Amino acid sequence: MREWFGFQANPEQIKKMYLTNKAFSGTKWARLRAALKGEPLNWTGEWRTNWGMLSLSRSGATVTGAYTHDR
Amino acid sequence: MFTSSRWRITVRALVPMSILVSLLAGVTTQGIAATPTIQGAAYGHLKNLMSQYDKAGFSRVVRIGNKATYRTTLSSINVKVDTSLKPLAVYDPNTKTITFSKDPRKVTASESLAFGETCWHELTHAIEDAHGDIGLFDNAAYAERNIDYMTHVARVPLPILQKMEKDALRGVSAAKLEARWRSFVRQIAAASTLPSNREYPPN
Repeated sequence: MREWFGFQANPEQIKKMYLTNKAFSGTKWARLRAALKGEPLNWTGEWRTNWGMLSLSRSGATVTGAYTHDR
Repeated sequence: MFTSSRWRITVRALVPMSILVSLLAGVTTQGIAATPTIQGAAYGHLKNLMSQYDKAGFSRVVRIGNKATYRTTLSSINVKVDTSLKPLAVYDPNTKTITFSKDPRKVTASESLAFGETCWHELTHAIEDAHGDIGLFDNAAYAERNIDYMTHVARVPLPILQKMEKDALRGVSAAKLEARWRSFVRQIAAASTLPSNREYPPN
């Protein structure tokens, strides 16, 4: 998608930008940085992938997953 | 006999050169402004859509498409208007033509973003076609998988991110900003559960 259309909207990349880019280092962005630092990305849920359904759940620092692809 | 020296003398006698240049420039500018091409007008709306988040902080790493790719694609295909067309627009891979149901030159400023989205949608199919992946003859879900995903992201999660940035600058609490961020991430994930994306994940 990125190569063909130049489309780009990746939460991890966006979060990293808010936390590391100099443009967001000032005090006016401090609350946003605090909000994002304390909040790991939550990937819990059902995900449709090229390899079938992928189920992820998180408990503390542990992520458990299962997928349907069996070939 | 008509010579260049006589011509210059004649012009100088009739109109001072500075005025002549101004007149010619005015005619050219007015000519372009008065009669934009369908492509030119469509590009204006497309540009409005693709630039809508340019002032947001996240535009450093987010974009809804490469403007140059879309502009080049628009200039390389045929574009026409058929007011009897029922859909807003269609792309025909056989003739490499986008047909709009409304003339882009008659689209008002308040309609520009919506029309730009229509251009973006059909040009996405044209780009898929250029990569040999038009999919229109297979099924609708496959054909729409990429643009459905991108449209959802542009319409739902990105405005949430935009609100989050505005809230941050207004001094809203970290808890509320975190809630906005969670909502953004949820909506990005939701794009993968759209009907077309359930059958076919986007590229």
